[in-house]
Amino acid sequence: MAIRKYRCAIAVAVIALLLAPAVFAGGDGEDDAAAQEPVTLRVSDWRGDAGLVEYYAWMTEFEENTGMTIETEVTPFAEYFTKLQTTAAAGIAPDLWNMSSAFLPQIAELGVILDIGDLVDQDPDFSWDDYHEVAVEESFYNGVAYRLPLGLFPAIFYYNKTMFDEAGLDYPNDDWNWDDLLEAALALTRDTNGDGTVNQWGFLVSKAMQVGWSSFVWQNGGEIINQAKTAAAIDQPASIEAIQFLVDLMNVHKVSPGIEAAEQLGDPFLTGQVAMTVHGVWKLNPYSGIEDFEWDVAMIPMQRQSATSSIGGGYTIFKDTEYVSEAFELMKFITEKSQSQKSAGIPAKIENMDLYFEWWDNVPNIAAIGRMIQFGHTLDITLGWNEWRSAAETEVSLALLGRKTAAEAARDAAKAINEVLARQ
Amino acid sequence: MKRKYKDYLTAYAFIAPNIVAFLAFILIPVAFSLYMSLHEWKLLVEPDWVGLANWIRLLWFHVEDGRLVANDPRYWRYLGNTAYLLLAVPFTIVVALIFALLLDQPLKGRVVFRTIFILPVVSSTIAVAVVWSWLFNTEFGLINMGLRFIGIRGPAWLGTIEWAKPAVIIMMIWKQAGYNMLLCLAGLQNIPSQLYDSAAIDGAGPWSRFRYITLPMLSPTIFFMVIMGIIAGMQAFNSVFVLTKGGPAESTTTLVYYLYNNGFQWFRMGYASAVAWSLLIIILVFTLIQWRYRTKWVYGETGKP
Amino acid sequence: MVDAVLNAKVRAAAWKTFSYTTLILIGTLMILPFLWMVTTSLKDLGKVFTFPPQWIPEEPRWSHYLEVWNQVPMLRWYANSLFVTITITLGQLLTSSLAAYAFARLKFPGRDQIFLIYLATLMLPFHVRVIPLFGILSNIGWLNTYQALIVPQLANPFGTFLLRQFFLTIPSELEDAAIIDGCSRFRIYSRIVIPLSKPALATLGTFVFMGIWNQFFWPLIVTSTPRMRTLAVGLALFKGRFSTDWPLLMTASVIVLIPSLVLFIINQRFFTKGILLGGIKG
Repeated sequence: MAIRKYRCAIAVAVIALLLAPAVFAGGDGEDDAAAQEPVTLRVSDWRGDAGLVEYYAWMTEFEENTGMTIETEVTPFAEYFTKLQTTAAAGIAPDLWNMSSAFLPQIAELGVILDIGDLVDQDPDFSWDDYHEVAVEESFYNGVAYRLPLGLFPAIFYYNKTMFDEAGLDYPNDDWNWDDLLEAALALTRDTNGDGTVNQWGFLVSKAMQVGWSSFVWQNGGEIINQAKTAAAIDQPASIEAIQFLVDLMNVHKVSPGIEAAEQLGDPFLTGQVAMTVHGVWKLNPYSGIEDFEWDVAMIPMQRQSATSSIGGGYTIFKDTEYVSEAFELMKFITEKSQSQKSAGIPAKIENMDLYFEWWDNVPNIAAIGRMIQFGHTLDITLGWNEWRSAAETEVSLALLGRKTAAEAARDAAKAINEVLARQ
Repeated sequence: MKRKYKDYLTAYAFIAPNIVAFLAFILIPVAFSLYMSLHEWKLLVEPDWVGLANWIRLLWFHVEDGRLVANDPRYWRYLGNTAYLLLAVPFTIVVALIFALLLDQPLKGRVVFRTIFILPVVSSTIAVAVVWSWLFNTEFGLINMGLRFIGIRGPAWLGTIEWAKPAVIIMMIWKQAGYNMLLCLAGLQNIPSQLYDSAAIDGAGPWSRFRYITLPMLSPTIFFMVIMGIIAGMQAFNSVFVLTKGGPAESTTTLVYYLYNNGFQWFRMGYASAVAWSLLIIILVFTLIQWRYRTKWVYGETGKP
Repeated sequence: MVDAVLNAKVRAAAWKTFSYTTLILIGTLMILPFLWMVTTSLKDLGKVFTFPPQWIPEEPRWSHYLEVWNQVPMLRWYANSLFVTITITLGQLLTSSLAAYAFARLKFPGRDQIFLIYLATLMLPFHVRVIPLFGILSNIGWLNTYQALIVPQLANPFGTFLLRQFFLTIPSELEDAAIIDGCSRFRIYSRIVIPLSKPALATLGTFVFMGIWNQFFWPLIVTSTPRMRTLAVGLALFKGRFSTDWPLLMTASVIVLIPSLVLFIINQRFFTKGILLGGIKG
């Protein structure tokens, strides 16, 4: 009776065991290659979707050129730093890894990444002058070079041409300021299906610091953090004014959908519910698939000056790696290859920047991004940036929800930011 | 005398396979994390001993401008959020019980229905988040449209501080009901039908049969669902996160999200360990209370060693 | 007399209608995300997020269901997931049922204390356990292996607790009779308790299978090469930092979902009334 009862389980176990050879036979032979080759480099990266195939091709090319073995470890971006820190905590950090700007200060302070300044200076092929200065700025922290410039990801202004046409409005141009933005937003916020509720909004206000309001603060001459990066500056009058403008857009002029709209997966611009938005250039990818309406980009409407948030990327080398010069070779290789791979980010290498306009020639006014990047303002990333950013965003959320005035929110944000900075 | 020790040995033999894996892969990491709560650990470097500093910051207060202020107000706020979300637990159990009773009947197509009800458990979290954010959409969501039909103006569910948590609770109930339904169905199978038959002969109506037979016989299962519901509910993270990302304005941020941020985003794994252990202690207290009263509430628990 | 019978019939019919209506309404709510997964898998990327949502794609791209196998090593991941999941499921059923029997029926010193400590470990969020666990596995050289995926999960307090509760509902008279007859505890366990617990075992087996099949975080942390990855981790690679191939991701997700559903349906046949008839007289 027992056999009969467990018949199902036995069958399943047998199948599983039969699968095992198929599964083991392929083995992990690739990973055993390390025993044969003298130099093995471990690279950690985030590369989802299409870029992955090309990435592996680069690695194969590098292996063939140099005779080294490359072990890649690819993790989805959302879990990337969790995994990186876990492996490092267990003492097996990779030799080379992709490092986002948000984590650069902290990891540099911990002294686990290599100062590549000398390697760069001694290298005959590489020169900082070949790269855009904003991207180069991102490669340094506290005057020390840790990364090679990969690309630039500014924020830009997107608008729905079809909606503008329907409303009979002129398209945004480089001279647009906040008044123009407000005027257009008011005209574009409508009830298009006559059911009594607004279903089309003029402008998407977002609580996110990086793409939502930082550009506005800087355009008004304000700052979020002071120049020395030692204290908050978000409670300066100029900064408060900028936040007030956005809060008014949402609560007084009512040209924006609710605060949750900017967070949802299918963003309101993509779904054709919002006429204008500020967002990072990485939206070029999903937006290029839009079929239901025409859209374009423009410079972000300015105020006292033009400004946009800009962020870059790059790889770093583990300080205690055995293979310093080899890792540097790989770092240069990947960086160079990335300059010609189609990406939503602008190549950091000056001579490659024109490629960008070819890749994205489906966007009529793509040149605006080239003009915008001159006003790129780096994100003032400090120790504890992740933490104080979310505290500031919470305060701005409360202002957008009408729970606090912009001034109160700014003051509380400054307090929270200073607390975080003090704890570092 | 000898017989008793032989029995003990048998018992230990039964638990042995379990305990070995437990000791190696669960107990050691758990103990390690307690030890870590007394350190500050930035993960990429060695930990630093800080004694009780993390715990004091987490749980204690100080005086500011003459008022008593928590050292870590966010901790208490997130604890409140997490406790609020526990409301999902009783509702889930009741709903699951109703489903199980409905689908225990010899209805045609009940396997189809049961399979559909288990779909939320296996559907991808992203799909769940997308669909629910539509359902909750202020203007176009089905929920508000339905409310408009009966004359109520629905709130901006995911866009206001007051309604985000109830929205999350609704989604959590929806997600867990099928799971608990399965448990209840399994529990219902074990109730001997003679009990029902003799009760019917004695003239007991459906409600009496439910109250005096079904419920007590299901009480071990319900006990399980309550304890596991609290254990899981207090550690809510994933499903909340995909729906609201902890917002708006941190109103749906839970303790585990705070823990995760501290440990992996803000370079404070020691503090994260303290948060985790505080969570364990809270849940343990809940569980111990229920354990203490289990002989009164649960059929079959004799409580005698 | 006829009235009473008619009345009962009417009530039964009304109840049946009510049951069906409720079930259909709720069923619709339950199936929505699954429907979204399926319809998205058949769309083009540009059409995924339209408003109002388009439930039926204009040109269903059935080809996605073939493409997805070529784009990524799905077959390998499927094999990995099957092997790991089945092994862990059987392992947990075994270790949990043995331990649950001891906690439910046997008397020994420290029984309740051990059980509570055991349960308490479920109360510590995994995020703080992952690093020491990873460290242990790294030290014994098990990283990126099947052992790392399987062995730490062969025992689980959840399953032990669940089965304990079910074992408690089995009338102890059955076991007492067997003890008087001189049966060993193990025989009682295997000949009496296990056969009577089919619904519980089927339930636990289903839960464990679903849980491990969809498990993401642990396999992600402990594997690093594409050959070792499981389905849940592999799927995540469809999500780029800035853009996601939603249709393919949903196609893969639908394919991944099928085994759990199949197992569930198969296990439904264990949900028959327990065989607790007769034999307990006197």
